Amino acid sequence: MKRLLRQAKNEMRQTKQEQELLYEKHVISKLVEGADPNEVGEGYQDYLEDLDGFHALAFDQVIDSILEDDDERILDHFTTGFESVPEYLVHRSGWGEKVKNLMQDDSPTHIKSASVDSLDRSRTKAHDGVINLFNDLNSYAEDKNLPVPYPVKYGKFDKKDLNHRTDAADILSRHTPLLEKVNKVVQEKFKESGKGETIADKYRKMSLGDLLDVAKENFEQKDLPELDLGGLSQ
Amino acid sequence: MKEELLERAIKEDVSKLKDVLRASYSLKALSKLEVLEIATKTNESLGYKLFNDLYYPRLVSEFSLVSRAVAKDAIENNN
Repeated sequence: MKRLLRQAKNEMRQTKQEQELLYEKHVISKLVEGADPNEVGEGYQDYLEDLDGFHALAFDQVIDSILEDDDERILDHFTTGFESVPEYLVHRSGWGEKVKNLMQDDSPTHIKSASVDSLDRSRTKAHDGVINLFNDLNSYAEDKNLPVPYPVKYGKFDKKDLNHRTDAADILSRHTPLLEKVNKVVQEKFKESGKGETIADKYRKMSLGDLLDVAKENFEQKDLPELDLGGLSQ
Repeated sequence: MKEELLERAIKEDVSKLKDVLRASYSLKALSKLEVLEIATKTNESLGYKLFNDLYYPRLVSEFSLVSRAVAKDAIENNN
């Protein structure tokens, strides 16, 4: 449990950097040396193997593509899909303790059994949701001719295969959250469209002459525009 | 964010961090106010200030850190 925060910080900083270095080691170095195409192909497979199921850079590309997709159903579909991640993490967290507390309860055996079954079903359902999400993201990447974010050897996760289920869970322990990425993309879009520009932002960009014109207009009208102070007004 | 407070939150009741996790894995962008509300409500629910700096960019980063830490603990320490 100790040093969780430190580990999380290190991983956030290092994951993409490490994956870039792996790509240089296995693929770029071979290309630069003029290696046989078969060797480059093998190098790419070695690279995928070293990623251990989660390709952070590919994941970023896929998320970019989803956020820019003209079909809103795509965004809706994956928004729902991603809801299974926090569900699963909450179910999985402290699992042993939850089951132990249930078993120590004074309730009759059949009630305890039903409670454990219910807990188990909820966790399994959330886990299935995560696996569906990973498969769907991979399919979407392939349709868009992007590298797949979950490059597992078997291609598609099988919900009935315990090893695949374990692999999917393991990937989650190393997975990139979305918040920073999504907010960055949306902020950039707003800036490009000018929609995020407040009146205060416009005033800041004006020349003195333009400012005085606005001041004169406002003074004559005595109907000052409501200031939208960006983040403060939300 | 203090490491011991994060560990305490994870050990005591991860469900109190659910809104932070949902925000971290959402494809729909949240407004600054929504992020701020989640941070303050989470602090209230926990009974201590896990998020002691309510500056938006810092909250975005700390939400990600919390999510990663929860995920690591959930998968590595719970079978």
